[in-house]
Amino acid sequence: MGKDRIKGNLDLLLLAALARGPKHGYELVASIREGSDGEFVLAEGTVYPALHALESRGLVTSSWQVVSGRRRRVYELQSAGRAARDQQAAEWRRFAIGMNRVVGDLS
Amino acid sequence: MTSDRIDAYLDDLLDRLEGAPSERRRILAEVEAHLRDSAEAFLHRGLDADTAQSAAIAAFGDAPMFAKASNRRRPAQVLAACVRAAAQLGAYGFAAIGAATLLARALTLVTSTQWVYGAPAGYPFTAAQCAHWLAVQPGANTCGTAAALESSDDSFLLILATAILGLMIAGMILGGMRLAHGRRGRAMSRLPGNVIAAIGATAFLGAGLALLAAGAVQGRNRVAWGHGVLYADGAVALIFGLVFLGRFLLTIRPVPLAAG
Repeated sequence: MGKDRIKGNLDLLLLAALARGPKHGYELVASIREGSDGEFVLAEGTVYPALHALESRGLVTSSWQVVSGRRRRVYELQSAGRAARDQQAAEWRRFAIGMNRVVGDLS
Repeated sequence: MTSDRIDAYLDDLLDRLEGAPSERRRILAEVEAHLRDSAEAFLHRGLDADTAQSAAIAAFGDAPMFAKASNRRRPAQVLAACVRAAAQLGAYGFAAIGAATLLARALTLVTSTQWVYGAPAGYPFTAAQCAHWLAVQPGANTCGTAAALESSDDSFLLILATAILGLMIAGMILGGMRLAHGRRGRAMSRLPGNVIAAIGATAFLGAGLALLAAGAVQGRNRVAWGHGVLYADGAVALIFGLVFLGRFLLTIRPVPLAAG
């Protein structure tokens, strides 16, 4: 899928992945790639500025943890992040339904 | 030499990242953990160590693009940092005004009130002005001395009060911002120290030279009041400017030119 389209929805993808539990950056990238059956292949570096922006907005928090012998910054969804995820997911569903209707009419 | 590519990438990235040291250290540690995880995964897929590191870096994205995205700040953060810097520089400015006022007053002890605050030679005092100044300055025996004493009292009190008020306002802005950020539990945005030092050095050195030049011109032409005040203001501005210049020179560090 086009990287611009993924980039425009990166916040929602990250919030949705974190809703399944705390993760560090590398795990998040892998989770999004596997969750989309390999459809969403991110430029991996893009997740960090997005995560830091979500953190500065109070949607996620982070802390250093040693995971598999390596020190990693682990991100965790906050209640404000959960609410943002629900709102963005609802908007996405409305958009997808609209798109499907229009695209369906064309076929 | 298995760690060379990731180390070189991190060195390049560190050179490009902006922000507080803690922020840059955190980003660097996160990126290193990510790249080493990724390289390990490529290694398990059968790539040799060097190619695995190259593949990890390629999947991550190049350092300039990553640094550009990381260095991007929200407009509110930029505005807050600019307001904070303006309040800091304003506080130094008002402190300089206060110090210059005290210096001008001290200068009257070693020169004269006339030299520091007085009217230019041949100033056409009106009879009403003379009567007023001699009435409010009964210790003066000439119109020119009375005018200089009155000018001294007025400018000393007015400018000192302005400096104190300005310092209080700048302090309230900085204190208010610190309080607001403390409540939100977030780090306060700030401009890099060397940027503030560069602005301070430019502003104070420029003002100092301009004031000294104005004092010299007025001393020769005798067209305006109080050319000694201009020397005092200029000297204090130059001192503040030199302190900022020293701080700037201590905080900048030359970086090597990129090869090729």
